[in-house]
Amino acid sequence: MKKENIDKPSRQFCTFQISERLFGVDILDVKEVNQETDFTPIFHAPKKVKGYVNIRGQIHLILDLRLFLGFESKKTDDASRVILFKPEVGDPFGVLVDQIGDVFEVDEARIEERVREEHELPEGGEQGGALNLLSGVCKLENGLLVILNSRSLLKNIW
Amino acid sequence: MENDTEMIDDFVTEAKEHLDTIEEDLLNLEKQKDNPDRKLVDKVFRAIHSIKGASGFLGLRKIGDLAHVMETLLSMMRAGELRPESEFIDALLSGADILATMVDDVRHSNEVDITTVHERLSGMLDLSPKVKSELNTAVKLSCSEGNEISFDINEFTLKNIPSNMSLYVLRYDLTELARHENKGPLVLIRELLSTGDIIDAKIDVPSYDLREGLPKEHLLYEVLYATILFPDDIQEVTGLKSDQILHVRRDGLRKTVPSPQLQEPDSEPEIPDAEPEIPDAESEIPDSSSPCQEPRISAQNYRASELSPEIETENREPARGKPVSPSKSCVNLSRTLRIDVDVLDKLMMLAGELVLVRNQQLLFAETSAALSRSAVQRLDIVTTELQETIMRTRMQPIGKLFGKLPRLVRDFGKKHGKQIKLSISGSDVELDKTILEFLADPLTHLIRNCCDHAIESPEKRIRAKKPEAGCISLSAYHEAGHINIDIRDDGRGIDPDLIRKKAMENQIKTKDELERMSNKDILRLVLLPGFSTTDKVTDLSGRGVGMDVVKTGIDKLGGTLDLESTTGKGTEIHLRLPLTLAIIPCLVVVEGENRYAIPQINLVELVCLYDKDVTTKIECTENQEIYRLRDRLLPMIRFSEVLARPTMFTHKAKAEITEKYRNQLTDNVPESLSFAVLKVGNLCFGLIIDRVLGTEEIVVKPMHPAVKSLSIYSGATIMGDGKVALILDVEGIAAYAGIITDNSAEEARTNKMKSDENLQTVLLFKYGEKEQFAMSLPLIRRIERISISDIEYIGEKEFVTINGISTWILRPDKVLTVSPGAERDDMFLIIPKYIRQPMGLLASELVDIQEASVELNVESYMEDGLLGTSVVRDHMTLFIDIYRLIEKAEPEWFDERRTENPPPDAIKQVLLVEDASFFRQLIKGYLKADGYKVITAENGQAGLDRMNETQFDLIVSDIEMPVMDGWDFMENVRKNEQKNHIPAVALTALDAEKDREKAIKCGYDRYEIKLDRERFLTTVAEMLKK
Repeated sequence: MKKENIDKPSRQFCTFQISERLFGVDILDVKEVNQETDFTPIFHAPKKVKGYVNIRGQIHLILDLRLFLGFESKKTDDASRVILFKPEVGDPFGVLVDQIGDVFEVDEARIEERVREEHELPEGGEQGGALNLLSGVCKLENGLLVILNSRSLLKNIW
Repeated sequence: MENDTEMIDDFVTEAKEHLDTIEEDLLNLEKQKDNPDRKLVDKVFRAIHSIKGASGFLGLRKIGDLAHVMETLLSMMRAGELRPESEFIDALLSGADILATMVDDVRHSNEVDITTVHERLSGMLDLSPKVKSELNTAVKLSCSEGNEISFDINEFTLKNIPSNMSLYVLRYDLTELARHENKGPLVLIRELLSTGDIIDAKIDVPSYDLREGLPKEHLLYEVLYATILFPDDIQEVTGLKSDQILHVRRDGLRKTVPSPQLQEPDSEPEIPDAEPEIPDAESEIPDSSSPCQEPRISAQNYRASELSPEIETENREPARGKPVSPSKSCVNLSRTLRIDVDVLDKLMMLAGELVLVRNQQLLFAETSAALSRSAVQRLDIVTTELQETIMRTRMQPIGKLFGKLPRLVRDFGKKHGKQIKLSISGSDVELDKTILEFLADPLTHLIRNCCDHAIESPEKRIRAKKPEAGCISLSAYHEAGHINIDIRDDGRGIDPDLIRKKAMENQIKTKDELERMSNKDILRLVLLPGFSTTDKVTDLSGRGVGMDVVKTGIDKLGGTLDLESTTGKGTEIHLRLPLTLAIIPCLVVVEGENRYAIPQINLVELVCLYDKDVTTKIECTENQEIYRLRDRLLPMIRFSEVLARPTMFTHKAKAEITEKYRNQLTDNVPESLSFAVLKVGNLCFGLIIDRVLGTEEIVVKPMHPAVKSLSIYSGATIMGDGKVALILDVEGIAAYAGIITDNSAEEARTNKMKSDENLQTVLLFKYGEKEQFAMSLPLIRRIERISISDIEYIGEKEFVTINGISTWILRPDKVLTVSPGAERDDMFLIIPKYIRQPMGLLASELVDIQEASVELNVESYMEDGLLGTSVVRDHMTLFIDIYRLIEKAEPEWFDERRTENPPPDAIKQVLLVEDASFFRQLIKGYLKADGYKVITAENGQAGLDRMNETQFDLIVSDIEMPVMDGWDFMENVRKNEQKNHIPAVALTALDAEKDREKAIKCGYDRYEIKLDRERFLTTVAEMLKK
């Protein structure tokens, strides 16, 4: 069992859907998935900030992941969930996703890391924001899993 | 059994407590030179004495030595032999300083060199020969049965034992004591001191160092003890058997001893000396250096009666005249406990959570049965108290910090021949421990500054008709959710002209900038790094650290620092520090669908208007709604507008709001209107909200770092129903809505600039020796000072690193036929706006910033890259088209746009309607560079005329113009059926969503901001492609 792990290094991803496309974040970054979507809006904050939400006494900043990925914002519904990240990813925050998916275990070899191209600006710019977020893709049997880097979310809200 | 560390730690804590108060007491003593307060002398004496005593136990030789000599001096003061003259106080203060240093690093205290202070102190003892002789006269003591006692004391000490006290020798077995009663030697000493004085003490194992802990075998500790207690009481109090107590005869020791009341000792029970012979042991303090030849003692020389209130700081009950029983005082001692701050923090957090749960329960209870309701009410009460108590644990009076300052001021005054009075108020204001600790350095620095820079020498003060002694007043108070500290002095004040001069010398600001700054802004310059107005560097406040350090320190705490000064009259520094305290009472209000909390400390009152009053009572000045509240005019802010507008209110926005509500139709007016009268500092304003819910104690959670920059919120909280509500930053809202007037002057200036059509604010600068250049200020992002030696080369190109970014340098002589750059190292880089690549235009000299008429002449001289020329300040000045210059030097930077959105192949004719000739020139230049044919018009009417004369492919029009503005112009264009297909771009300085909408409604296809050349040209190309 253990040996197998060493032979085939693999990573687990917490996947979710946005606009019917599959995305994932490293499961080690995820604290929990919650269905609390009663946000308190923060006026003056960037559009990507959905608002504050209270999860068991701790206030989390919720970001609208749709806007990060270039989709229009949409109303929350029964399937909407927030994915909350662990403290080491950033001060308490989470992202709003359309629908939560399964946990996928993927061989590391099957992940294509996104190589940063030279002409890309180091940060800033609308394009830069979305690009920084993508850390790689992985081909699954029935589609593509786009892997997001949860650590660059907070940096790209402005 | 106590081990080494514990004992030393105890000692250090206790010694520090004593030393903390000694300073203040000594200073007070100095003030009462002629009639020193006996109690105060006693208090200082006892403090030093107890340090001495305990240090003996622990083998802290040097501390003991120093304390001993200080004690002797104090004992003379106590006896009235000495008056607390300044020189003595000075010596004692320096002694206390060294003691404090040694106590801080107690383990190395024996290596500290104390000879100077020691000699100074002991030198003072020589002053009184009588005392000296008394000190040298040993007195033999004997017990009631006539047996001699091994203690030797001198006459002076004996004389100072109050006559109503009896002397005893108490014999303790420390080992037993520790084993059976778990009492360490320090505790024992403290206990004894609470009921009497320890004159002398010794331990029968001289070589034994108690730092190692107590030995297993019996350890005899003998105490020569003076007390007003009767022997019976002693037995009870000390728990010693009668054979361990010896009564010492006081009468008949020496005939000279005055003992008028000393009749009772003889009647006391005789106590046989059952103990074996006490070896004449050395006490563990080698005392050879003692100048006064007092017998070697590790002794305690305490007075009983007033002891407990001062020694045990936690016990405020004076026990005067009635001895406190040791057992009780022992309980008192253990009442203080040191707790790790982390534990407190955690407790605090948990209390916060508990408050939340409580709030939820309260909400619940309203609908539940009576029984559970009463339980919830009890929970409510207990939680509130718990929360308050826990908060108290972290609070400390600011007096702890203030207490150190009188000494500082005094020493400084003495050293520099200044007379300075320091008055302190608000010492009892309590501050969070963390803030208090952080505040120490900035505050000390500010006071030093006052002494050093502000307060003049007495001569100067007399000449200025001021009292000889300068006055610094320091006060602390709570206000508006903050702790405020005011530091006022009546010194020379800060001279704005001096600062201007200094700022120019240090090249912090240019002359022109300085001229345009208000005096208040000028004052703030002293907060910049490297700014010091005194020419001399003094050892106190001129060591390269200035007000900037203070400012940074205060900033770090999330506080603010304000300066006010009147030249010749004095300076006032106002510090505002936040309460980190996590729980505050708030007013909860509703706006739209959300609740907001307003800290109650900002709240003055609530006002509700009904019916007609809603429209009639709120009046308007030009762009501000106001309400007449009794005799005060309150500016009004509509919270809904604050939330709806994502940028700070400009004059224009304010005018719009005023307009919007003034013209509110009567059928649209709400029945009532509520507003909260809020206060920030001296400013009051009304905040119009939808609804008031009530007040609530809320737990403040900080804003998430990602949205911390939003100025209108100070935090967030969780309401009883579990939803998050935002806490408003009242000051932030006032600033956002533009009713704090700091920036209003500047704003007015920029507004004026915009409205004055043919005037442009330009930067005049030079590059070569000859030409004067001008560049429009709105096009400049900033100006950087660079050094030619820092320039790096890549091929022909020059780069300099600014804020970590390699910035390309464009030299005007590379792209224009002008004289080469002046030969100097110190140059300027003008960094333009609206350019994505980091670059700057090199200039050798900044001439000025000024309003210049921009009726540009294009006939006299013209070159690609110029807008034209004009005479400014009697010089012909070249007006630069910076974007064209960049394009000439780096055409590929613009290729991307050109290739993505190439200008149309066929020549297109563009109508440019723009009233300001400068912009007309500029935009025309942009368009022509891309190959368009441009015909211009000064206003909408002229534009319509041109359209009748010829055909256009595109219209570009300004909005704000005289005669006919851009709105009317476009409406007219769209009315004409032949011309309503011509695409039109509105080009304006107004960037508001509303204007954008209006422009589209009037018939413009696009809406662009002036000056952003790249974007504008892209738009033009796109539109012509359609």
